[in-house]
Amino acid sequence: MILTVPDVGLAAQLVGWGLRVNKRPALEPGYRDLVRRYLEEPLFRETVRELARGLGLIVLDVSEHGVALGPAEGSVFALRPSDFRKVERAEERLLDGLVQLGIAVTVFPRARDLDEEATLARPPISVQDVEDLLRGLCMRAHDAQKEKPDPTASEEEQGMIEAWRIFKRRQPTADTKDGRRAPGTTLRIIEENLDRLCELGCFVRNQRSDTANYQATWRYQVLCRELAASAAFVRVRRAQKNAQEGDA
Amino acid sequence: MERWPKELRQRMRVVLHTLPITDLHRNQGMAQPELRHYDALALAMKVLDLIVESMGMEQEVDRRAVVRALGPLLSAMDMAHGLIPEEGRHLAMAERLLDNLRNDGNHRHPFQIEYTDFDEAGVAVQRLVEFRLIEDRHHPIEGIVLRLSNEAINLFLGAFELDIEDAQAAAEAVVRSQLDRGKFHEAVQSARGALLQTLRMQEKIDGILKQTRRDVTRVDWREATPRLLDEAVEHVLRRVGVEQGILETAQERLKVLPTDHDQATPLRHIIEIIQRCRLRHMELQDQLMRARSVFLDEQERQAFSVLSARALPELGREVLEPLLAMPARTAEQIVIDVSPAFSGPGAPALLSLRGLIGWQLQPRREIVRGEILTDAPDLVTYGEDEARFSKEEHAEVDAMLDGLSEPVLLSELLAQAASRSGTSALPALVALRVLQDFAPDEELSTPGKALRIDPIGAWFDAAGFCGDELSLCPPASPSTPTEGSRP
Repeated sequence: MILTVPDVGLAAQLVGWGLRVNKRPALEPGYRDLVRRYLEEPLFRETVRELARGLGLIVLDVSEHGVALGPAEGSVFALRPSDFRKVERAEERLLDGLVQLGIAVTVFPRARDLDEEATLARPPISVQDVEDLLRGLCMRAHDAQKEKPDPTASEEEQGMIEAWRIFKRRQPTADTKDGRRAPGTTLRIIEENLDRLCELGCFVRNQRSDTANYQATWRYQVLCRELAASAAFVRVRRAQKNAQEGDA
Repeated sequence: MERWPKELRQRMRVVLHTLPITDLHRNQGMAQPELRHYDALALAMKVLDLIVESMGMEQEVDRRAVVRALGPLLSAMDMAHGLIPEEGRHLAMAERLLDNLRNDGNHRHPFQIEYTDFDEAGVAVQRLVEFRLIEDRHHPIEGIVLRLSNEAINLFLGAFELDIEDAQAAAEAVVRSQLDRGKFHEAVQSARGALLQTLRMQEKIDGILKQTRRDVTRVDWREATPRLLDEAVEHVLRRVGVEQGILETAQERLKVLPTDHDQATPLRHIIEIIQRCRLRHMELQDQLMRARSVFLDEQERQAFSVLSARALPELGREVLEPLLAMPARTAEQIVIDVSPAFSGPGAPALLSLRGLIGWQLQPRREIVRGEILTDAPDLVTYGEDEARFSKEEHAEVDAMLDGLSEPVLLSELLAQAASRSGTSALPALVALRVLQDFAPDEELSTPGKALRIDPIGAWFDAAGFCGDELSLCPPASPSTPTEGSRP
């Protein structure tokens, strides 16, 4: 089978569809045809993958649900912390990152949950679920450190205190006049992160009575399973190894 | 004679799969009092039937569809117990049923049931069987739909002798059931589902081969992959058989139908789709035949490379907990690096010159009249604002200034105005008029009528005003008064 120049254009179109996270092949005939072609023609599939790779994107999965793309390291498509939430302080960036991981752990509490097919919908989660998980881990870390002396002021200044202390010292909630979650509280930060993930096609918000829950989408499940979980694990392991070598 | 034939284990495992359903029936007495009269087992059978009927079709069953479908049965049960059907109670019962069938109480993890087995020596061994009945699945268009697990399909369709976890058997059972009921369209939808399964299998095998080419040690070529390849071959052969059955039945039906019959066109469509399915299976077969040689080639090529293989991590224990224990600065750098992977890519926001120019050149938006009712404005006469000085005061000052026959000092004029009115308004108007004449506006001044006003180099303080003393001469007056020339 020969691939023509217009075919390369179509391959690029499929990558473009993958970036439009709210589009579904079942509702877009052009998208659906390209997905079918991707699944049926090995050469076209290879072209799409290479084209995406050249742009700094990784094709994680293609199915009737659409194209799931992931950003390669240093990709122009990788969202920066400021794209995610308008924060400037290092502490806020850290909290956002911890919340992102907390959300993923709440969706996939066990390693085997990641192993399951991405089409199997995970149970919905709430802001409080994520808060409970992170707060619980912080309290556990706190209890484990009880016998040790408190961090010094210089450790605090140099950012050498443990990350859990940053989360733990933040209040989960605070009273506001209008009954909304107060800015800067952990519940509000989690809510903002989940809402942003909804905009990025990773979650769908369902409001039932007074509480909202968030349903992870196929795209988010693919992202975690095929890219993020392993990337985070490798990065953490590397940091642990560096720390051990530093100690030695 | 064998003490514990393996068929017994097989049958027992099937029975174990029914326990969550029978538990529903047994535990109904523990439900809320208003729900106890419902027969949960009958309702569960209806839910399973509803889901299996719709599987693989474009319109699948979701939670709301279950509630709708159970409505008539729940109403009948209500009436049998002398109760008035009530929507809220129906919803509560449907939710309770789904919660139990999905194992919501245990975070929708699979059901885990322990049972006793006997090994070849006759020793009792405790084993654990794990399965789901109803699963939440992402729908390709939108939302979440309910599907039966392979185990539930086989259980429900009465396949007690089958390997209960066999996905292929489950798919075939659905197609067979639909064909038996004369539901050709549904059978084709299921065939499409099976084709999709084929495509995914093809993709999976493709992925394994790519992974093998990258690092042969990261693929289990001892057990898992050969098993997958065997399954794939079996899948292809079975699919060809099933599709052949559908094809023959459809062609027979088409032969006996008049050309212009309503069902003729859908049947032709069915034949076309099934033929496409068969073509795809032949491609998969070709891929399968080449798969093993890829492994052998790569094993030879990568014989001396050393790489490690690893399964997916446990995010909580292996990532989040170590991260929380790290120094904040290190943890911050890590989360900045990995967060983009959790949120997916985003197209960078860039200025589109084309878009901007297009926006700027777009024609003016047409105003659609008549859509918004507007009230006619109340017209008022312009320039009738309340004045600080009355007409009488203006007339009095005019008379004072016009009445000047000889030069006079400003302080004298102010004192005169104060004594005439008794208020500060008249002196203020005099002061303003004098200032206006001191620096007249060319457009407003009347030639020949303006006073001649000159500073005399002295200071005055009179009638609440103070400043440089001025001499005011009427237009015809020849001389200017000086300080001291008057009292």
